Amino acid sequence: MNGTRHHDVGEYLRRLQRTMGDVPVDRREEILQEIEEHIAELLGEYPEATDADVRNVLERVGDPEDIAAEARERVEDHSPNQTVAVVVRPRNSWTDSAAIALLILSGPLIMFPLFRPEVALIGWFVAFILVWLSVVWSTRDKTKASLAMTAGLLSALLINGSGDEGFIYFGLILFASIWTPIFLGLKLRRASSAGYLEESSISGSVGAAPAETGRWNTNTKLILGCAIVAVAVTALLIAQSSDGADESLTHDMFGDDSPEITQTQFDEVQLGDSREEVLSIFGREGDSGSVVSGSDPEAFEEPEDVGAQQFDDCLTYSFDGSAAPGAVAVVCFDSSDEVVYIRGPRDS
Amino acid sequence: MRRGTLEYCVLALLRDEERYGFDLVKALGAADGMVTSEGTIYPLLSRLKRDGLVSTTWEESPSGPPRKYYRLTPKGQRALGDFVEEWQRFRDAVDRFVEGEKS
Repeated sequence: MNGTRHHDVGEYLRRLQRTMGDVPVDRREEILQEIEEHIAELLGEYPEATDADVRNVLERVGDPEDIAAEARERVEDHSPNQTVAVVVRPRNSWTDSAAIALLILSGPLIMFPLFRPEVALIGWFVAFILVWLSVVWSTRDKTKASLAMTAGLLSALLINGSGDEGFIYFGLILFASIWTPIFLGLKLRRASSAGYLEESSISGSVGAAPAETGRWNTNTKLILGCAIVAVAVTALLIAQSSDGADESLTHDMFGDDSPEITQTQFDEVQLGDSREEVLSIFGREGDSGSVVSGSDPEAFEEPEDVGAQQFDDCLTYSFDGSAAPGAVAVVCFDSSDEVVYIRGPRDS
Repeated sequence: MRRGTLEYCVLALLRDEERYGFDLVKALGAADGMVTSEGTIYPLLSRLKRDGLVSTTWEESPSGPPRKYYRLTPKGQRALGDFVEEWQRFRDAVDRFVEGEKS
């Protein structure tokens, strides 16, 4: 077999060349050449190689498909961190962190249900689904978190129509929106460190960036960032709620939302009437609040003779269609609940 | 398991001396179950070279055509060092489980 190539070897190399057809040509030629030399070297150990010896040698070199697959995979596989398939514990994914982030961000929105309840509900709903899809938390942890979330959500729905028991609901909301993310976050950290084996397992790609093993990994940073944002949002909402309270009162007093009365009813009310008499004439309680001076000069004008008056409480009403559109009636009482001030639309 | 660790075995073989392909394959083949198809080493070597972890030189052989010798680059040395560190930690951790707790 000296000098000339064995027929089987030639066939083998041609097959290898064909199966590596999609490998870049320089790499393909290099690999082909080396394998050809390898075969020659192996055959060098058989001075009188028989056909069976050649077949044995080619078998040692391996199936061309395997070699081509190796060449192909290595060409395509530029991605670092192809981890060895040793799964010690499921790795937490970004969706797990996202679930916690959503919970943290939705918390303040839930706690102030007047403002953005629908956003908060969507946030918690998505978080709820992500938690159940996760492979990191056990069913028991998921159930605990879900119970807390459900209690918080129900409380958020019930708190509006509640009276004295409102503080229980508020407590439940507070608990759900603070405890749930902390609980899930701690469980996540624990799962991550238990899954450390897997994360730090050998990178399949040589020279790949070392796995992120620090305590402050991306997930932790994400959760911390969300916590900061949540605190900021809470502060913003608290600031808005004090502003918003005044604004909404002004709006109600001079808007169209007040209870309606007729011009006839309004004319019946006299100075000195008691609060009960006024309510029996109008048949309903108006919006309560103090008169905001100069709010709407068109519909409401401060009379000179009440400039120094002290009002204990004022009720505002809208007029029905019989009066000018947007017209407002204001009836104010002193500390003994007697009418000391009546004001209708200027043009009535 | 072999996949991903084989290339580090190649790097480890080159740590102290340069070797040519056939020599590398023989050394790997001496370890039971390390290499099933000898031919698959060459695509692997080709990639290690492309990634700059090994470099090659042609050298005259005492018999036959010149041989392509592989040697570790500084980058390859670093990659190997990182791997060895991780591997030892990983191996110890696995040992702890598969050998059971010993009091």
